[in-house]
Amino acid sequence: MRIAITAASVRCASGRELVPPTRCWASVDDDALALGIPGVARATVEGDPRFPDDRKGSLAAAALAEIASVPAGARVGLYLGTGLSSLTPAELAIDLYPHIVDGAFDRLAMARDLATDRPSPRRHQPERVTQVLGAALGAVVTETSFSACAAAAQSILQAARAVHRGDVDVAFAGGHDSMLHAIGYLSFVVLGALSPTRGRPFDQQRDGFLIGEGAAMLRLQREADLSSDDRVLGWIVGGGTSVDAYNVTHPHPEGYGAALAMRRALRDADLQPGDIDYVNAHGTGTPVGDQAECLAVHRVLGDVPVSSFKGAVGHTIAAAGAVELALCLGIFPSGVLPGTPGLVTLDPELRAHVLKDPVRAEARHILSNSFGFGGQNCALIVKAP
Amino acid sequence: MSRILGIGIVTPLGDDVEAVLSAVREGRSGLSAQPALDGLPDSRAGVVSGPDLAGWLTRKKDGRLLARAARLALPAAGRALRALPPGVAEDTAIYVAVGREPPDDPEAEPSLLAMEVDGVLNRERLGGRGRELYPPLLPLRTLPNMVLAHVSIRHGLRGENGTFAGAATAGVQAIRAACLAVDEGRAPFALAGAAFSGVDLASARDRLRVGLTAPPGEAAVFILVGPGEPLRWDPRDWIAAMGDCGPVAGLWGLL
Repeated sequence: MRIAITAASVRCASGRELVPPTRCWASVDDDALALGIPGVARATVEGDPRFPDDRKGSLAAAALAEIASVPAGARVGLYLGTGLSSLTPAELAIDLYPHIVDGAFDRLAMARDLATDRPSPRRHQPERVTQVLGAALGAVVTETSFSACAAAAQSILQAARAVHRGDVDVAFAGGHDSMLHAIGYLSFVVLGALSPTRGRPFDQQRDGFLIGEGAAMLRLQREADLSSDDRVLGWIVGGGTSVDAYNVTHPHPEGYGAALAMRRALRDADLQPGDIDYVNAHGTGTPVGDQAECLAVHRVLGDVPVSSFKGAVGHTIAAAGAVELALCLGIFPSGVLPGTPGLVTLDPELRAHVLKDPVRAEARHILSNSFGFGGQNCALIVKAP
Repeated sequence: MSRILGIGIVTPLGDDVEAVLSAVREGRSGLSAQPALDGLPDSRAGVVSGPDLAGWLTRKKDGRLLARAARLALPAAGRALRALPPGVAEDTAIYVAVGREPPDDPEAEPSLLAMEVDGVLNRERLGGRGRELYPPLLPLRTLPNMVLAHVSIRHGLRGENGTFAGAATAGVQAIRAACLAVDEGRAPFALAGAAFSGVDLASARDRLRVGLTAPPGEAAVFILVGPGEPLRWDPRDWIAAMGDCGPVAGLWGLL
């Protein structure tokens, strides 16, 4: 497989530039503070009228609008990874709290309240953003991945295979998510997943992740279809997925599933472990997750340089695979492998070759990992243009 | 091309393929009045009896982690996988379609109520009583990919995978992805299916608000595909018998 990335866009806390972040972009949020979370990584985006009360829809629309040119006559596909937005405070105020009687929800009154101007029906249609944006593009294929934090990466892989197979001529692929609201924070807090201090992947003091939000899109085309005007930002040359089949909350302690995904990606790309020059880790900053990933990377790829962006732009959940791959595209022209923002003291127990600071080196092949709760794993390999 | 090697279903009309097929041909309805939907214009829904999870849970306490769709999926997937040869689970692919996001569990209500002051969420209550009462397992039950997670854990499936969201088309996308995994040589076998439950007040109300007036339903259908003859299917409209089962509807034709 050799699929050209001819355009890319990103919306995340570090902005819209396709370059690896170098500092933490967390800011204070009062709802998060109430739950003991000192900062969140918020993107800047204007609300899109097609997606009222749906911030993740607006993020997707903004990212897609930047790159949405389509060659005449091309069959287009839209492949989006999306996430669970959970109940929002706005829905509570508009739709549930008006029906409290004697300290309980009046379910009969709720059943009779069928007003259509409510946010909840939109929330309960995860494919809606894909459908609305796909219709605007004239897409002949739309597909919505719901694979938790691996969703966007899996969408990109599905899209690349669809272009390679000839299902579509141009694919727009990526992901979008936002859980930056009170109930979103609460959902992660009760799981013990958010850092009560700050995001610091691979650090010996790491204690959870910094939550972020964002969207990113790639335009994918076959090499044979490129015109002289097309600028190739990178080539998707392979990908692999796996399931841990181990535990719904914890990754396999030795990263068995993660290693499987990376091996499958190497096989798909017809590459050897030594061909990979840099690994953009899932690297959330959770104690167990980082350790399992480092074991897997070391086992499959040896001493390859590894770093994570999540201490800077946060964990953008379902969008993470697309956001981080888009940011990785800036590595190729820079000649610099990025460091790990937030990392102060590398955990000596981690076996992988983690980069704390940027180093000058060329990257020919980059492997990007995305792993989700529930054990869904995806590894993508991108080659320099 | 792929061929169907195994099938498992859990429906309001039972879990035996031949019996369900006959029931639909005879025009028998699986719909019944549901007290949970009282107050709606139509309180009927297609509800599965049970399901009996004996034999499908690795540990009995795992039942607490299962949302309704996952409860339907486990037996359906397990029956389809009876045709899986031994020793190939590691590379067997799994593609699953799920419906709209799972409903907000009634278990969260004490927390949500505790956070309310004057009709809005109160920040101090959020960090206090609301946090204390919020069910810690709720996010794990309602994550959309948990159907796939539970099936893969129960059966040791570690192959390529995906969870698709959407209405009836998502089930077909899952089947297509599974067949392509086999046809293109990335997996020796692939499990594909869909699981959905829309029989709760929040979901039923949301459906009516977006103009979906067919009674809600719940079901799971899984197939195991492997190398062989072309996959052929002819979907039919079973909604009158089963209720609208979202992504599962795209799979009725397989029966």
